[in-house]
Amino acid sequence: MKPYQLCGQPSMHARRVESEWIAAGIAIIFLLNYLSWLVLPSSVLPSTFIAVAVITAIGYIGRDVSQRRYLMAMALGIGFLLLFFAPFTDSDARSIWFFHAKRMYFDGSIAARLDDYPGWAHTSYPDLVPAAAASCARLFGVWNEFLPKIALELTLVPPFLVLISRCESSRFKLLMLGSLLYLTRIQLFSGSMDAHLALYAVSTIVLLRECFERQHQRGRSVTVAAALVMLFSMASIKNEGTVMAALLLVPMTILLLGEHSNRARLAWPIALGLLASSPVLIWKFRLISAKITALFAGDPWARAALRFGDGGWTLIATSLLDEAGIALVMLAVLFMVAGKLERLVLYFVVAYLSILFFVYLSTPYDLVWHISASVERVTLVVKLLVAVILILESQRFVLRLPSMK
Amino acid sequence: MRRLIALGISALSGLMIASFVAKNAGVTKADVARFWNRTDSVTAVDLIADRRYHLHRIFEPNAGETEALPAVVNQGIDLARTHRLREVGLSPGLWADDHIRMHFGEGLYPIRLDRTHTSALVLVGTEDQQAPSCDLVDQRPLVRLVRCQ
Repeated sequence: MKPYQLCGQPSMHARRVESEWIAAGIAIIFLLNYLSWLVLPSSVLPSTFIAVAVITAIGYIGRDVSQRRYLMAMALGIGFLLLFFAPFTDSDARSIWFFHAKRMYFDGSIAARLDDYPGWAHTSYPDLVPAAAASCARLFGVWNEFLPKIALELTLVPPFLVLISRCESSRFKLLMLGSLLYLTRIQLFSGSMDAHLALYAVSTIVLLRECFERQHQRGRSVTVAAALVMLFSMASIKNEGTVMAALLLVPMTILLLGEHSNRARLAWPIALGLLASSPVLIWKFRLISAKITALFAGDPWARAALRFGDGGWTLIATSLLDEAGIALVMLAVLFMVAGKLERLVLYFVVAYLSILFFVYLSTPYDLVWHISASVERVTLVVKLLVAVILILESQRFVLRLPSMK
Repeated sequence: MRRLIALGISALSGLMIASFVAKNAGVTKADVARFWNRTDSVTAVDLIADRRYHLHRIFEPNAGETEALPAVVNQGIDLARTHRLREVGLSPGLWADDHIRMHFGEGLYPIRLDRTHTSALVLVGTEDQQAPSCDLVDQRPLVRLVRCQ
């Protein structure tokens, strides 16, 4: 069977391309919102961008409903209602992400954060979602514990659109939605950015994977553009996202160089990439100018050597394997059953787990505390990615059976 | 067989979504156990009836602070806002507690915590010993605002 043979159905293909347009459009609005907080914070741009994002999302969902497609509308509607059961209690959400948003709202800019107050709010972290939260608060002129939460749901729209639109039947759309929600569970609306980051990373990989598979198919440029925007959005969510984006830039570059033998046609992806990466690049430049160093300052190699000596590496390896082992097994099963080696997925999983291994190996914190506080959150992306790939491959298999369409 | 698989996929998806909704609505495992034991007339709606829902408060300034922050922090914030402070210190007892210090840091903002410990106005926990050179300015049950020389 040819990859994505079913894309031949024009309406399904058109709908998928349309979803990619909308997802990329909304994601770029969030990046522009972040950029406007960095360069024109006192203008009306932040409020305007968030209003445009809301209108675009509601317009798209409204059109879905008018065409009797209710899943996204129901998911977003229920998600919206779930936001208001409680204020944030997660310590990362309160002391880092939504404290950043609160500072943006009260200080009127991101630059004020460079004073590193109060000293434990991780000033170096990028702020895509907090910027959206601050814009929500500014749009309505009020700060509280609930209104900024709307940004949590709004920023989920692009990855959900990308991933759910990959499914051809309502049954698989439901399975995809159920799996995403089940795996991210409480993290999705807790205000810690791990679930958001994982969803953006998985969307980027799924789009990239599809670009490699759908050689010379109409509408592929939109998929490439959506993958680029999602990739740089991911880099603006968390520092781990910057690392993931760097990893995925390798296949993205291979894809672009392989596709465009005519170098002049590379102009638009480069221009889009520069625009989408500008917020995180500007922020990193400002951090360097303000001499705010990353957490892993000091001598990471010496600490890593020490942990190799004292056996700390075994704890790291077993912890990572405990969390991501099942995902690796599933990848192996997929290879044995479908005879398909998921090169891109395997590359990402192995490279990312290797980086995590080194990060834990060289952490300046107490190793046991650092692992127990973070390993489940940082490996979420691996579990989510393998679950999504399994669903997409199962769909490809099942849809060959006529009665299952 | 195919229908069975289709039914299984739908049921599994439904269960996963229900689990997500329950967790985010604050339904705990104990709640679920209580529901299945049915020792009283509890229903799914009753499970979350004692938890307040806040959608109607999204345009209310500072809504949710009271629910999200420890009582001592709420009372400290109240004192700082009542006296229109721009910066306030924390007593060594409050500062030493990471949890309390971090909540004061984010909850008080835009009022800032004095990180240099030189501020004249200091929030002191009622269980902390007050320095002899400090005068009481105002107080709440769990925290006092004092002015030190």
